[in-house]
Amino acid sequence: MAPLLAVSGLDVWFQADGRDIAAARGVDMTVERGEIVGLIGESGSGKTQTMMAAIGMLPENGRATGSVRFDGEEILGLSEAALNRLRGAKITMIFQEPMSALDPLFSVGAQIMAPLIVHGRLSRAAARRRALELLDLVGVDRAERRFNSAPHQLSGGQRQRVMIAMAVANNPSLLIADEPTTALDVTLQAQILDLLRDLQRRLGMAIVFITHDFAVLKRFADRLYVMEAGKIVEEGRIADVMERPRSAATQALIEATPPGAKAPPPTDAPILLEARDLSVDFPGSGSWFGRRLFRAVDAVSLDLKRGQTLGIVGESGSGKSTLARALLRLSPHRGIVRFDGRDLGGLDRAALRALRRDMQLVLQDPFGSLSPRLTIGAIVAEGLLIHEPEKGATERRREAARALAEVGLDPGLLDRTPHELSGGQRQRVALARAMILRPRLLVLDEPTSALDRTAQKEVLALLRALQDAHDLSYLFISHDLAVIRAMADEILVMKDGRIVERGPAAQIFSAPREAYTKRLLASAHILAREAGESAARSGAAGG
Amino acid sequence: MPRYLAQRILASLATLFVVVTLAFFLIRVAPGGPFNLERPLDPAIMGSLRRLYHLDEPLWRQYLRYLAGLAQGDFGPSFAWRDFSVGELLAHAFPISAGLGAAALAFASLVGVAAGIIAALRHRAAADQTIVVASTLGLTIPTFVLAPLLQLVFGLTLHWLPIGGWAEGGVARFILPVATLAAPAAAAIARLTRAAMIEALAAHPIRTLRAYGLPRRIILSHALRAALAPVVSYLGPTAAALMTGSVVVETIFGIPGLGRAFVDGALNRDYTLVMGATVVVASLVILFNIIVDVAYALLDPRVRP
Repeated sequence: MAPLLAVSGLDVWFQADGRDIAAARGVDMTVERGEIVGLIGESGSGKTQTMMAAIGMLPENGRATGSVRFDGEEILGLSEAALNRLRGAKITMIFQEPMSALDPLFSVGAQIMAPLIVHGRLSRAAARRRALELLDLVGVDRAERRFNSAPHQLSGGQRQRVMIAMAVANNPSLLIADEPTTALDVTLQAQILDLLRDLQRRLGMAIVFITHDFAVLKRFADRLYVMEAGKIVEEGRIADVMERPRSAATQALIEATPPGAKAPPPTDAPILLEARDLSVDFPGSGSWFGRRLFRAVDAVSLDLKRGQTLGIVGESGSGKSTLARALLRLSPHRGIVRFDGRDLGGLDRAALRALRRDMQLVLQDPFGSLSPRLTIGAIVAEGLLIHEPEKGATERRREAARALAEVGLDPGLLDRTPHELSGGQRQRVALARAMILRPRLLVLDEPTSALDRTAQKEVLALLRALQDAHDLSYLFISHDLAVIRAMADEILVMKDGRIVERGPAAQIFSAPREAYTKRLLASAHILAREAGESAARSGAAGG
Repeated sequence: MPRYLAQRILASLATLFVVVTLAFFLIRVAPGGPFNLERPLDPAIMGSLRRLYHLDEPLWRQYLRYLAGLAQGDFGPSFAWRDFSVGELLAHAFPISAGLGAAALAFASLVGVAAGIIAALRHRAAADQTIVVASTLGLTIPTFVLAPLLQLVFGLTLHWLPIGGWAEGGVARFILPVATLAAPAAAAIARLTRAAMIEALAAHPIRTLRAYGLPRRIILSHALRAALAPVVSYLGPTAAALMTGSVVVETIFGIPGLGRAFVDGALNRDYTLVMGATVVVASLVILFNIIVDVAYALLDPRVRP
C-alpha cells in the first residue's frame, strides 16, 4: 500500500520584489498511516511553508513544484474545489496561536460545527450534538456552557483544545500540527501533547508535528525530518538522531535554547536608521577648572536596515542605553542621526512627534515602565490618543484588544492592572503598547533581562514573529550574548562608549577578535549551558 | 445589555443637558438679538416685543423657563417666524431632511459596502483600481461642486431630472439631492470596507477556514463581519450628519429642510429655533452613537459589556 503522504522533489518559491526566493528545495518525506512524524527546524527553515504547499495553502505569491501524493493520489496542483474536499475532512491542521487561528467574532461552537456541516453533511442539530461530544473528548469541561463562548473567554490551553476538536471532527487521516504548543506554558504543553497522542491512538490518524523544539519531539514522535534553509538535512528515528546527529543544524537544534540565528534581511534592504559620529557628553564631577564632561558615547556610527536586527552588547555602563536614547533623540547629543533618510536634528517638535510613532522604545523593567494606576487597556491604547486622536474609545479598546492578541495575551486582560500580571506578561504588554502604533523601528533595551529563562524564550520567539510579520527593524541592546545570538544579524560590541568590534553575528561568535568580546562570550556560554539544563528539566517534568 | 443600555441613556440625558445649557448661553453671547433690524425699531415696540418673549427677564430666569418648557416638549415660539412655534417649524423641516438623509445613508451603505467588498476581492486588479479612483474622487469633490455638476448634466442638458425645488415633482426631485448627499459617504464607506476586508482576508482566522476546506460563502461571511466594525463606527456620526440636513445641499436644491432652518435661525438670532435645532441634532448624534455601540457589541463579543 502506498504511504499516506509521500512528498518528493518538492520546491517552494515565493515571489518578492520581482525575484523568486526559494523556501524549500527538493523536499522528500513520507508519512505512514497512524505514524507521528516530526518536522523540526529553526524558524524560517521552510518547514511550515513545505506543509502549507503540500496542502495547497500557499499565499498568492507562492508556488510549488514536485509531487505530493496523498493516499496514492497526486494532490499538488489540484483545483481549490478538489482540495477543499480533502482539507478539513481527510487532512486537517492546527496552528501555533489558537487565539488568532480561531475567529474572535464567532462562538467556538459555531466554529467546530462548520466543518461538520460542510464535510460531514450533518444537520445543524446533529452537528451541534457532535461538537459538544468533541468538546468533551478534547477535555473542555462544561462543554455545554463553553459552546457559546467567544474564543477570548477561554484560556490559551482551552483554545488549543477547541482547535483540536475542530481538527479531529471528521476523523481525519492526517493532522498537521504547526508548533501547537509553542505559545503555551510547560504544564499546558504537556497536557496538549498527551491529548494529541491519545487522540492519535484512538482515531488512528497520522500526525506531522512541526516544531523547533527537540524536547517536545522527543516524547512524542516516532521519526523526524530536520530542515535547514529549505532542505531536509537529516532524517531517522528520533532516538538515533538525538544520539548521533549527523548535521550541524541538528546539533544546534538539540543544544539551542534560545533557538539559534535568525534569517538575515535581504542585502538590498533600505537603510532605516543611520548614525554618524554620534557622541553624548554628560556633565561630570566639578573641578577647579569648571565642570569636566563625561563622554558616555564616543563617535559611534551605525546603519540599521529594514527588517534587520542590530545587536548592541557590552557590560553595564558601556553606553548602550545612552546610545539608544541619543538615536531616538531623547537625550542631547552631537553628530547626525537619520531615520528613513530624514535628519532628525533638523526636525521641529511637531515633525519629530509624528516620526515618533515609527520608532518605539521597549525597556528592561516592564513593571517600572507601566503605570500601576492605569488598566492594561488604557496603557496599551495610550499612544493612539496622541497619534490617532480621531479614534473613539470603543475603537481604541478594539485596537488594544487586537494588540494584546498579537503579542499572545488574552484580551480579557484589558481591564486588569499591571501588578496582576507576571513579568513575561508585563513585557508583552509593553510590546503591545509599542506595536499598536505599527512602528518600523523598535529599540529594545534589555527587553528580556528581567525575565526567567522560560519567559525570556517566549518573548524572544514573539519578537521574532513580530519582526517577520511586520518587517520591523530592531536595535537590540543586551548584556546577554545568548539572547543577542538568537536575535541579531549584526553585532556592535561597546566598551566605555566606543565600538570596539563589529560584524555579522556569526563572525563575532565564531571568531571574536577583541579580548573584551571573548570575555563576554565566555560568560554567555555559561548561561547557555544553564538554559540547556533547565530545558531538559522542564522536558522531564512534563513527561 | 439592558443594564448597559439604561446606563447609556441616562448618561445621554446628562450630555443633552450640557449641550442645551452651552447652546443657550452661547447664542446669547453672539452680538445682536432677534429684533435688531437694519432700521432700529421704535423703543416702545421693542420693549413690548422683549416683554412678550420674556427677553426682559434676567438670563437665569429665561434659562429656567426654557428648561421647563423643554421638559414638556415645548420648544417655545419662533422669534423670526411669528405665529409659528419652533416645534411646528421643526416638525415641518426635520422629516424632509431625515427622509433625504436616510435614503442617502441607505444608498451610500449599499453601494459603499458592495464596492469595498468587490475591490478587496479583486485586490490590485482593474476593478479595485477603478473603485479606489472613484472613491477618491467621491471624497475630494466638494458638495458645492458636485451638486451644480449633477444639475448641469441631468437637469439642464439631459432634462431627465428637475434641478431643484420641493413643492412638486414626485420621486424625481429626491434623486439629485440624495445622490449628492450619498456620494462622499459612499466613497468613505467603500474605502473603509475595502481596507478592512483586505486586512481580514489576510488574517489568521481566514487561513484556518481555508485550511478546513470551508466554502467561499463562509469565508466571506467571516471576513465581512470583521470588516464591518470600522464601517459601523463611521456610520454613527455620518447617519446623524446626513439626517439633520446639509445646508449646502438644501440651499442648492431649494429644499426647506433642517439644515437651512438651522442656519437661517442662527443668522436671524432666532434663539429658540437655534436651540430647537441644536436639541434635535444633539439627540440624533447621541442616539446614533448608542446604536453604533450596541451594533459593535453584537458584531464583536470582545467589546460586549
